[in-house]
Amino acid sequence: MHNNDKSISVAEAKATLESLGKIEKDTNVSLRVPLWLNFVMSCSYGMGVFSWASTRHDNVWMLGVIVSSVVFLLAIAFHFYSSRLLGVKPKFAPKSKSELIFGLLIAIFFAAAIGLTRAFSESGIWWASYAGGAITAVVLAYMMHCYPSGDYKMGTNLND
Amino acid sequence: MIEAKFDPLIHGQNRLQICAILTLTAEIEFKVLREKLEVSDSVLSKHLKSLEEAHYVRLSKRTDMGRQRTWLSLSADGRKAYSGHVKALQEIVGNL
Repeated sequence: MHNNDKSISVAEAKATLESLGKIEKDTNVSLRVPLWLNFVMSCSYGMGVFSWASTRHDNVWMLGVIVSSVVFLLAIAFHFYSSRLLGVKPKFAPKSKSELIFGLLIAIFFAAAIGLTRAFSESGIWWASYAGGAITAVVLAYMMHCYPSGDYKMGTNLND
Repeated sequence: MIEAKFDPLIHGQNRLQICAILTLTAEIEFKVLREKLEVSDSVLSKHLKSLEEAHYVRLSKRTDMGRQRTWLSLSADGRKAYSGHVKALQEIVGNL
């Protein structure tokens, strides 16, 4: 059920949607984390996953977890601080249903990846920690680059 | 489910663009928005005033890092209105 005041033509509506799509795309590009910072964040996250999967009671990989976590959190803080200096505050929490769903799916993916990486590593698969670290780093880099606003849907492609 | 609803208040190009940009951020500074839209201070202020009166946009003036800055954000009503309007446009075009 909807309420439309269709006082515009199809051509005008189409042109409006196209201009909105363009501005959303341009804004998303400007919201992206700089590549170097993306690299630092992804690598530190991947190292953290690797270190966690490799941690046993008789090794020092927990130190790797701590260092990676500190680097990752500092990188995030730097991103928020520099964005604020530039006049943009990135979203920290989801503001719509689609953002919430997207965030939950990403959280579930990373939780599963981290859990499975450690489980496989503990079961004796020597390359599991390397694979888990690499996969989580690549996926995080991809997400930060392609979905900087935290939503998989653009406003002009709504179907919420 | 978002209800498609054409909103004449936000249909103007600049106002829709304002909503589109604000949807993607938590807050944005007035000057940054002005630069993105390539309009003058007075034009942007006029649009923002209309949107603020409709409770679609929130303006917050605060001293940040030693200087006065005006921060803009889209309210929940504004998000709903923008989403509904875009959906209405898509229905007109026949995308839905």
